[in-house]
Amino acid sequence: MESLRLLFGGFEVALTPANLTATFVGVVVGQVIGALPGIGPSLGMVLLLPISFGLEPVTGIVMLAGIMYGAMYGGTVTSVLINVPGESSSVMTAIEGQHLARQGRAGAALGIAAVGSFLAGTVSIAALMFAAVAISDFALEFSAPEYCLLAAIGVSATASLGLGSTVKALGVAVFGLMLASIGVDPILGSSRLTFGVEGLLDGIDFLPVAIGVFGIGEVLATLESATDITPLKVRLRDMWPRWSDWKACRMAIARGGGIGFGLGLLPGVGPTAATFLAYAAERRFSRHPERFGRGALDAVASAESANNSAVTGALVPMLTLGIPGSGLTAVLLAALTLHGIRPGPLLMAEQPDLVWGLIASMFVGNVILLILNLPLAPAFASLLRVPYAYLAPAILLLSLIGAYATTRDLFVVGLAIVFGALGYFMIKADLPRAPLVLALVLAPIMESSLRQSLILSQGSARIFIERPISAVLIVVFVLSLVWPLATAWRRGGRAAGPPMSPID
Amino acid sequence: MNRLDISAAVGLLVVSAVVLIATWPLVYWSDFAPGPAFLPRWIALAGLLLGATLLLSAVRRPSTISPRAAGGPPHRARPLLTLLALVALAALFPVLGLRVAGAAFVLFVLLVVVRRRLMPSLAAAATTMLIVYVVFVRWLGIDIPSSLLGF
Repeated sequence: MESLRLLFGGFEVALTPANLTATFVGVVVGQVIGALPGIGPSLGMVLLLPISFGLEPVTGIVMLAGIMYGAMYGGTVTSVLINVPGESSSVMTAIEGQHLARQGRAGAALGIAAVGSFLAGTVSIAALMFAAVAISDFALEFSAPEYCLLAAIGVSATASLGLGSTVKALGVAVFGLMLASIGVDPILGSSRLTFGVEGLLDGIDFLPVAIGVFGIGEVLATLESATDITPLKVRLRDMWPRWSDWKACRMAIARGGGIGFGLGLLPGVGPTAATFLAYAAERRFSRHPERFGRGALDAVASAESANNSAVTGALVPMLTLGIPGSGLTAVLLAALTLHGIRPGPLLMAEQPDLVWGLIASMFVGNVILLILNLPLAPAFASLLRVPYAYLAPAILLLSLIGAYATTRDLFVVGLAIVFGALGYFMIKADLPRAPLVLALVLAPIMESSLRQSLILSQGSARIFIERPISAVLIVVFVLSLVWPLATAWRRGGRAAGPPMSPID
Repeated sequence: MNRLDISAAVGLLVVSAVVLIATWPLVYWSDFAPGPAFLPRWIALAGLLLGATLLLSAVRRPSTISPRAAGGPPHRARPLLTLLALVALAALFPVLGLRVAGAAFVLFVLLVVVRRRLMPSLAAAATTMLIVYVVFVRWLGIDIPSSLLGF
């Protein structure tokens, strides 16, 4: 009941004109970004991150969060109509959607995806409410040793549980940790790894790295292969699912939503992996598994429900523990930190308007997206006719201006370009980018908590074992490193796994 | 062997070695707490280990030919030209101002890099600069650098 009372308070915050406008802008930008192939939601968030600094914290955060879940809806449009996933978590939708489109059922696919995303998204937001309260209460027991290990798990799990090569992902995470060491030592104040460059004394900030690897790098990689595309035409009356479609898909929506939310809670899994697992699970439960891969509407329902609810699930550790589990939540965490707000167990007590306003805005945002997607999907589809080549220079220019606007420092602009080149190389070399930004965000927490713990224990590492919660977390940390590496070794010593999606 | 994987592995090895060497003079342990060199050294050692593993794996794996993407061969010059244009933009906008340098950048990419037609490119450049002005100057009140001529 207390949660419901707080939620009503959240709606009072979310429904102010400024926050309602921010939610609308965020979900529309997210929908557009999700629909446009070659532009991932992380790019949209980093583009709007500098803009969010000019807004109130709640307003900025609801806008950025809107991009996150809005992009999941938008990815369906391009997946079905041109058989190109708008973003990486729509890959399974593209596989099924292309067959459905050829059968003249593109509208049904878009419609059931929108309904499934709405239902799963709404239920997962309700689950977020209760899970966040429970975990926050539990996390009040945490101290420096627990925070150190949580940050370490956040880095290691994201690197080892995500898609692609474990060794590559861990290598990227380690590189991110080394980058985070540049600057001034947080406890003694001495300079470290600055090589006499004055601009490095403040360390490598999150913003130019995120703009570079997620923004500039992605655009450079997409420019290399961009071609003009012609989407299928969809009629408005074809958008509404039939009653038989709804009956066939309702359990798929429930299963996909549950699997997505549960997996989204785990750092490193993310909506893409949740989509694959939900698809595989749905195939096992389906009475007609032979239809999968040939245009199964319940497969689309399951995949789209999973990706929406996974995004919501990923917010739980970020809000309650201050540990982002994906690149997207890392950007959100960075936005909160740059507004002077520290996510963690005390966030719900100290910033109830922010937390409950965000949760309420997600309910509102999902309603907006359902309204936009059911009748207006053909209108969004028309956006696909805009050649990517016209969008690319605009995105690059806005990225650089965003980097300049927050600091007025050309050095930061230069850093964004350098990391843009690095981001392009990472995409070409199949190196995941999320572990880099996560390591950059979590390294300061990890190092200062580690040193505080050892100061408290007068140099004894036993503090990590004597505390029961941190002892469990040590086991989890070791497992998160050892298990994926051992699995890869058993598979024949292959250090390389399946290729990453370029937008992940 | 995969050249990109080898480059990534060598890059990680070099960066790890640099971090290890650069943090060597720093304090590793001070009284009863780690010093500034503690974590970077361990991270660098992990980087050396992972880099060596990746290098070994890349050298032993046979190189694969990537399937040709639907839509034709890749435009390999585009990323490099665009990157050079970005560097030029960053260098020139304190001199030319963001409006002129930004518009020139957009037109360069559209006309030279991706070879679009003139009129749509001019329209795209004008639209982009309008968005920059409305969002950054009018809405957020950010002072965009002007050129030496004052605009």
